[in-house]
Amino acid sequence: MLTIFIRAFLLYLVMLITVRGMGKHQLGQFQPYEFAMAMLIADLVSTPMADVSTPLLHGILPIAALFVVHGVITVVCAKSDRLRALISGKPAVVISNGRINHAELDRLCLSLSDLLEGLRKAGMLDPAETGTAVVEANGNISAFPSAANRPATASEQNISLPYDGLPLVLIMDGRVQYNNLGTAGLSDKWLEELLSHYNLGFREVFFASVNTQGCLHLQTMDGALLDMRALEESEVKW
Amino acid sequence: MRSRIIALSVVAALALTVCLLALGAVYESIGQLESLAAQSEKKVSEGDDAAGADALERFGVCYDRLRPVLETLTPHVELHNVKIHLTEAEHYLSAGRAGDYFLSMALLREMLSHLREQENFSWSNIL
Repeated sequence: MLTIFIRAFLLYLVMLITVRGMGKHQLGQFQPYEFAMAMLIADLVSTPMADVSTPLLHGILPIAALFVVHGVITVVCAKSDRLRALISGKPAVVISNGRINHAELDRLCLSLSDLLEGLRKAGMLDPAETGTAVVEANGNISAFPSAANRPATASEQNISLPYDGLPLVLIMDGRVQYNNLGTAGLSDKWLEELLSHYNLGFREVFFASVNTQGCLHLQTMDGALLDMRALEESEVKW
Repeated sequence: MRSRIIALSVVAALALTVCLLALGAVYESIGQLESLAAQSEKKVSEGDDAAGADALERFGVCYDRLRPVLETLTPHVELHNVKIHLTEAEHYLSAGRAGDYFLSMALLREMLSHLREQENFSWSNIL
């Protein structure tokens, strides 16, 4: 029994390292070859995990082989559009200029119900408002409203907006996030001084983040919310 | 991209090295066992049962020494079958049942041959 426990532990580690090594694609949307890989790994791991009489190497070596093949396919797909199209397939436009492409739906063996479901998933409640819809290589449907049905953008209205980048979390559950402070070009002393104006220490802050407009938003451990200007916009460096 | 190619190359090289080492270890181990089995059969067929039993005993010692390595490389059930045929052969030899002894030795050698064959890098195994 202890052997099975240790073998399961080792095989899980091997699987985790393999999936991590395959990159973020594997964790999110599957391409066809990634889907095949995920199924095979699960199967390869299960036999040596449960059967003590099967050598562990009989599980690990095939996983290593799949890892190499998968890596080669990924690299080749990144380098060659032709091979990527061959292996992963190509995106297919199923709605163009508001018109459903019947022939393309037939070719993809998609029904209108599938298309409508995909549009709803993409946030398009009314198909009549859809300008373009694409069935991606991984099977997802991306949909975009027609020009008449989307909100006007700031540039179309000649409105100048400030830079709207990623807010940086500076404190989580009382712990200073030094990486983010470094990214912002700030120090913990700066943060300590800022918080001292409100009689707060790091440990008393549950969550604090600063946005690219220089505003610091924080919630204390007892639930109080505070918003303050922490930086001038010119001081925002990320 | 470069780090991925390096990682792939390292994993491929490691896996191939393990495969080649495993192949070598299985060939070497099975070769030793086959040689001792052949010695035992030769001695018994010459009428020297004591020398045959001695060779079988050396087979058993050698098998026990190699078993931990072989168990990491081949299915345990097949290794267990080798031990079963060895025990049978020892029993038949001590009981003076030469016919049964030779049958057990033939099965033993077939098991050893099978262990080597399934590690062979050949089209028949690949396909």
